[in-house]
Amino acid sequence: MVEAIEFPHLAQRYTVSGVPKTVINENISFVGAMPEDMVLDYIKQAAAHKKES
Amino acid sequence: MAFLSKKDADFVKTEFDQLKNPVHLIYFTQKMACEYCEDTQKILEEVSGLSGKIKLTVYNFTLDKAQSDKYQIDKIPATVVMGDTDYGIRFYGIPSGYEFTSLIEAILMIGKGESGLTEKTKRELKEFSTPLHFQVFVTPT
Repeated sequence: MVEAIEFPHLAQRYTVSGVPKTVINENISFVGAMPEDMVLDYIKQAAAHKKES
Repeated sequence: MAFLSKKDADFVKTEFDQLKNPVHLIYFTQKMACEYCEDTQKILEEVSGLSGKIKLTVYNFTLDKAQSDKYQIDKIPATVVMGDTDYGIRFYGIPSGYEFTSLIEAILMIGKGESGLTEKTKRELKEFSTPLHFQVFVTPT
């Protein structure tokens, strides 16, 4: 958990304009609360992304 | 002055009755150039005081560099929430407002040894061998 106001450089780096914003690794992100299945899909995307790079 | 009202403290205390395993709160702080460090420490002191299962350890971010390195802390205020195993849970910034609830939830998850995830999710997550870095940006309001 990162408090966006105290760490503005990070909020800026990950273009946080709404919260909660979740960033997985450096490449996958989503805003708001998500159903568990969707979070799992994002995790799969992030893991796949990592393998390619 | 206490951060928690008696009513809130009583409620959290009742929730903490569910803790089965020890929970370690490891807090990294420093005296200067940290607007919310002092308040964060007070919150953690109050929370850890509500259950005998919770142990708070305080380190100085710069002076205790070996500990900061060990827990991979790169900014403060930082709070590690862990059991006997470190699952990588970190709170950066003050856990107040809505984030207070997140802190309590994290403590309950660790202390109950239960993430609350479905069996299907747990099964699928087991297939991932490479670590993933999650950063959840929040604001206290």
